[in-house]
Amino acid sequence: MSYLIKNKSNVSNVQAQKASSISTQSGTSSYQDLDSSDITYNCDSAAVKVVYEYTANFVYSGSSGVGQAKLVQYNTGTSAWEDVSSSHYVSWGFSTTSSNPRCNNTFKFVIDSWTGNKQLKLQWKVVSGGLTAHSSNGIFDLSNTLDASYLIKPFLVIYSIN
Amino acid sequence: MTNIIQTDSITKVQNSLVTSVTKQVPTLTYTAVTGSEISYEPEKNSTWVVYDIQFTIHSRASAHVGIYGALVYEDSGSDVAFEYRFTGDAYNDGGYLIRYKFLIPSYTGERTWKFMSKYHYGTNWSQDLHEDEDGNQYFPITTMYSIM
Repeated sequence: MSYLIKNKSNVSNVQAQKASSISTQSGTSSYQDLDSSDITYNCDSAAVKVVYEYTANFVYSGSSGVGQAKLVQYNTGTSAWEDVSSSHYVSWGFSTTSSNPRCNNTFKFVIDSWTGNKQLKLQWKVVSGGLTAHSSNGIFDLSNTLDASYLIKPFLVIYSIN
Repeated sequence: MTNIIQTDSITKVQNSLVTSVTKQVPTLTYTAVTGSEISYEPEKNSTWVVYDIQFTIHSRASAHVGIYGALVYEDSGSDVAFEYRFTGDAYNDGGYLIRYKFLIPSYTGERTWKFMSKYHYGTNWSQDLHEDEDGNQYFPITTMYSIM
């Protein structure tokens, strides 16, 4: 007997990547790359859109922190990184003194499909206060023991929508 | 027999269903978040499994938020932590739609997963789950799927 498992999903060419080891990244006023966000992706041939979803943790340094991230793409014509568009920016955090923001974010971007390979990555900077990426600010394990240096590995999931 | 399964896809999507929800008050030790439990066996030959949960919280004492979270699975009757999360703020009387997404290397066989939470020290750093500041209640949403 033969049978075909027919996938009616319009999601295809799913790729995921996760840091195997990680260090914290201190935010500055200049854009820098977020670890594990860089990928070279080839859309499914029938793709209409591509969804880029990056998950990472951010905690305050000092007593407040507001961050901004943007999706950038590599332009092989100019050999330079460029913004995907002005609508591919996100911001998060609190600027009030002693607001102490700590959060785990999944940044989701939807991009028009393309032909061939395209290299994408996420860049971030601090716009107010201070932020550190991938730090947890400490967690309690299941035994209620504090692990002050626990880091949270970022990861990326990208897929085509046909 | 010939089985053809499309690769590079999302498959075997499963969600946790709860038919009612009430305010949940965490303690200083980890307890399971209502609606977070899923028994899940990954699709054969999958590479990753995603666990995705979202739920509403608000600062219980109209002060701070400090929610510790642990994604755990059961192994031989014991809870094993996969990863931890922490969301917090201070002096904001915060209300959040918490969303935590986990990327899990695929495994063989069925595991029962749940998301557990506890609050930070002191009730000023605690929060109520599934409820907003005005006492409106919201269902948690938990989803798992395999990435081929």
